Amino acid sequence: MTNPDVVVIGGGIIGCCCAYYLAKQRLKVAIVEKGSICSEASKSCQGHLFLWELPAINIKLAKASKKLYEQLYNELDIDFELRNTGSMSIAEKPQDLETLQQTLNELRQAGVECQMLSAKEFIKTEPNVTRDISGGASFPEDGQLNPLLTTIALTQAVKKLGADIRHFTEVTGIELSADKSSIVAVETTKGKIGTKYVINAAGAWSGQIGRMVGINIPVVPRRGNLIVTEQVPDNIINCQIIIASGYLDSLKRENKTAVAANVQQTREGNLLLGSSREFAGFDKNVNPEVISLIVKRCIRFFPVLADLHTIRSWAGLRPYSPDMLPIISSSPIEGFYVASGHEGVGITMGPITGKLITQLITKQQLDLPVDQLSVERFAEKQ
Amino acid sequence: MKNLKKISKQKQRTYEGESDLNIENADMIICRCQEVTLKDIVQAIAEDATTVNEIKRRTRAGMGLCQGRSCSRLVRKILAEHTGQKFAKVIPGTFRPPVRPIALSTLASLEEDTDDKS
Amino acid sequence: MRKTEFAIVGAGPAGLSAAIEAARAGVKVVLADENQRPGGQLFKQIHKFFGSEAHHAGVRGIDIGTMLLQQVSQQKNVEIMLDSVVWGIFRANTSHTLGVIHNSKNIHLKARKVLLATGATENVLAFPGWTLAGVMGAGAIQTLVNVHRVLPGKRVLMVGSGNVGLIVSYQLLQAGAEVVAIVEALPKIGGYAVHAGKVARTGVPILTSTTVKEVHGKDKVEKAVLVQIDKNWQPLTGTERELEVDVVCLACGLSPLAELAWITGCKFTDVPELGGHVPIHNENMETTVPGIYVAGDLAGIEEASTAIEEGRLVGIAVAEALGYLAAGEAKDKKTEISSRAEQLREGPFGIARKQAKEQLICRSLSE
Ligand SMILES: Cc1cc2nc3c(=O)[nH]c(=O)nc-3n(C[C@H](O)[C@H](O)[C@H](O)COP(=O)(O)OP(=O)(O)OC[C@H]3O[C@@H](n4cnc5c(N)ncnc54)[C@H](O)[C@@H]3O)c2cc1C
Ligand SMILES: Cc1cc2nc3c(=O)[nH]c(=O)nc-3n(C[C@H](O)[C@H](O)[C@H](O)COP(=O)(O)OP(=O)(O)OC[C@H]3O[C@@H](n4cnc5c(N)ncnc54)[C@H](O)[C@@H]3O)c2cc1C
Ligand code: FES
Repeated sequence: MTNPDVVVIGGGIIGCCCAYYLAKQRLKVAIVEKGSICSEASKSCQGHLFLWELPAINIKLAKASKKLYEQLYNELDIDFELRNTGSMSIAEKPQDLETLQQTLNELRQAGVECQMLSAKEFIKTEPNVTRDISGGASFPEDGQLNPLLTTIALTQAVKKLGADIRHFTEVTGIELSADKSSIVAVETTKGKIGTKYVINAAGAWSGQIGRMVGINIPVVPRRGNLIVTEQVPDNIINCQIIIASGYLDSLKRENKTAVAANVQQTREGNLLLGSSREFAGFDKNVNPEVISLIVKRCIRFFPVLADLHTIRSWAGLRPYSPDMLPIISSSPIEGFYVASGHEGVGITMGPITGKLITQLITKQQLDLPVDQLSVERFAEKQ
Repeated sequence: MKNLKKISKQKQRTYEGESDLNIENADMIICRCQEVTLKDIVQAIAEDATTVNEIKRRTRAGMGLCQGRSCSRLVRKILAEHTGQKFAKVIPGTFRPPVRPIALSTLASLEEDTDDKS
Repeated sequence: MRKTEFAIVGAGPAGLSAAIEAARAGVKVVLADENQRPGGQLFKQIHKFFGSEAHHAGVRGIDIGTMLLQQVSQQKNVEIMLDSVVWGIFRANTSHTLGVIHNSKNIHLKARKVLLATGATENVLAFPGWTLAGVMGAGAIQTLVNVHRVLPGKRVLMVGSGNVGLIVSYQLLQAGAEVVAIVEALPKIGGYAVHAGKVARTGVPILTSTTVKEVHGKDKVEKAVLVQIDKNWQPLTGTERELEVDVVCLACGLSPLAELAWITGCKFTDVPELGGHVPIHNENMETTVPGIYVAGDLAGIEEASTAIEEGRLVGIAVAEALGYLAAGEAKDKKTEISSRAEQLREGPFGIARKQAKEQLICRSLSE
């Protein structure tokens, strides 16, 4: 096997998107994945394309990414269930409505299409919602896809473009040049792979990869539990994605364990109930207390859920970066790039991340400026 | 918001006719919960799936109400047959709680602490 | 959150026996089973049991169940939770938490030691038509016939000639159904000669080297097509024959019901003689996850008699580990139980299982 131009470490949504855009530029790519493709965060998530997570840079990335997904939907061979679903947010108490109103003001400035809804209006679109809400908002630009099929579709495509998929192969080290300024090879459990370029797309594990080359990447796992129901008719909820107030709060770091109601319906009809955020190291076991709390919270807003059955629950590790901004960046080591830290919006931001990384490597005009997303923001603080 | 904008026409989940799968009983159902056929599974294997989990992610076999309790062993057999692995070496897909379907109201009704019961 | 010293999942012969031994030594036990009554498989077994005298040969399974229940009910230390599904198991530092559903409530039960004695699950076989109504597992048919006293149909094709297939055939005949044939893919009958003889004497043909090719019917089974197979399991064309049947009963073996064990993260090994993937365990039946024990069919498909001995062994080992039994006393008891279990693993079937069990314990030492 000839040496690849680029080794992508990690076969999650981020790694697969990077590989896809690189391969389209006729670079020879190898994806090295310790498990099977799409076996970590990217398989444990909901498929919400979330276009309204502030700050503004996130919104720009998300919007650009959604456009790319629309293109991908036509380019790729597998139907990955992309839909324009929109999303809705519930304001529980009067003060939640006020907060939501403020958020919407900021969002509008950032170019997000959104609309406040009175309780009556909300109940009209969602007859199954509890009557004691204060109102809500709708976000018609949001969308949804099936993350498993998306990653598989990308993998198929990169294979067709000549990329090499090395699953069940773990990266154990990175060999640098004698002056430690550039990449020589990637060491794996299945041998050494010579290459000049490495993309660290190892999600929650990207800090470990950073350490291999002496670069500080303070990304840590932030666990999220999900509960899946049996397949149900599509009139339980009408909008496929409904989030209750408390969600934006749950993103904040000071919450050691945070739970919010987040109900989504997949195209196959299962409901995915979330969400939670915990710092619990690399432990991927479901937290039985937390899943009860999530379900309680979801039933609080949708009492009809009470009689449905859950068939499965799981937990996944979001790649959390301390300032809640992704890292899409070159690095002081020539040829070493970082695509990580997407926390709860990695699915949303997959394609734009892949595209920007490709533009960085091939020295093309960037679709969006990435200065704010540089890994060096963490080096300076040390 | 009920009427979803479909972004484009619905495509097949797997490629049709990409590889010529000539197998007997191609339309036989293997996963009854999700109505996945033998052909779907063999197709996934042809596209490099080597584990029960990978087949599940591609075909939904095992994602149904019974969570693979009925089909998992059949999928393992097909995997063994079509990849040349020994049946015994093909491990089942990941098991997760709950091991039986449970009502959401029940899951939510977590008993309060009664430390007296020790 | 409730707490106990020793939690047992599954009130079959293994679980009940463990509860009895542990409680006798003074351990506080909670025993949970999803059924409305305890006993596991035993209560479906109205036939006389096989095995040696010391092991209740000639006694009906249901009576062994009743006896174990009496013994367990004498123990004040045992709380039996029926209608209680254990839906998950979670690690909590040095102990384990079980998620139990009881009376539509979600109860967290924390225990220092846990025995998983969840028994087995039936293997299915796929052939065109296997999803038609009328194709059923032997377990479901046993429950219908022996527990609810209902016949699944009139003309039954039995697939599999292991003990389960033979015994269920006999029970169907007794209940008034016609067993049209028993098919067996292997060249010889799988089960014990006593059971095979009993069935053969009624005139039911046992067709070896034969399998079901397909099943036809509009909404339910109407006809089954059989075909002979060669040594390599290849169908021999031209040997097809049709049978008019309304029930196809699958008795194609059992596999350990290991879902909770997999969730604990304990290590498994595949042992065909024991029914597939079984948790690796040491001579105390403890898995590679400290504090998690297995016994009975989950630790390898065997018989009620061996399940009872393995359960007892766990009961003693747990009592010892929790400080209720002195090492010497525990050792004597364990030796006695082990030698009894060993006697049970005799004959052509038993020897293979005995060797498999010994290898399993060897493996646990290297883990
Ligand atoms: C419960 C939950 C719900 C979510 N919902 C959404 C949502 O609705 N919308 C959204 O946009 N996002 C959502 N997310 C977030 C999203 O899942 C993540 O941001 C995204 O999957 C991260 O992708 P990734 O490729 O960086 O990481 P991963 O998918 O984790 O991929 C990283 C890969 O790197 C591999 N790896 C690690 N170390 C090595 C090594 N040394 N050698 C080789 N390979 C290695 C890992 O095995 C892994 O496969 C959710 C997350 C969770 C947990
Ligand atoms: C037709 C037939 C005939 C047999 N004849 C004989 C014979 O003659 N002699 C002999 O020695 N053996 C015989 N056996 C075998 C014997 O019945 C089994 O080996 C024995 O019952 C195994 O005991 P166990 O305790 O491991 O499991 P089981 O008896 O199967 O008990 C397991 C219990 O755990 C419960 N359970 C499982 N999961 C959960 C959960 N998550 N939550 C709560 N509860 C749970 C189950 O519902 C069940 O009640 C026969 C078996 C069959 C099927
Ligand atoms: S048969 Fe496949 S999930 Fe139930």
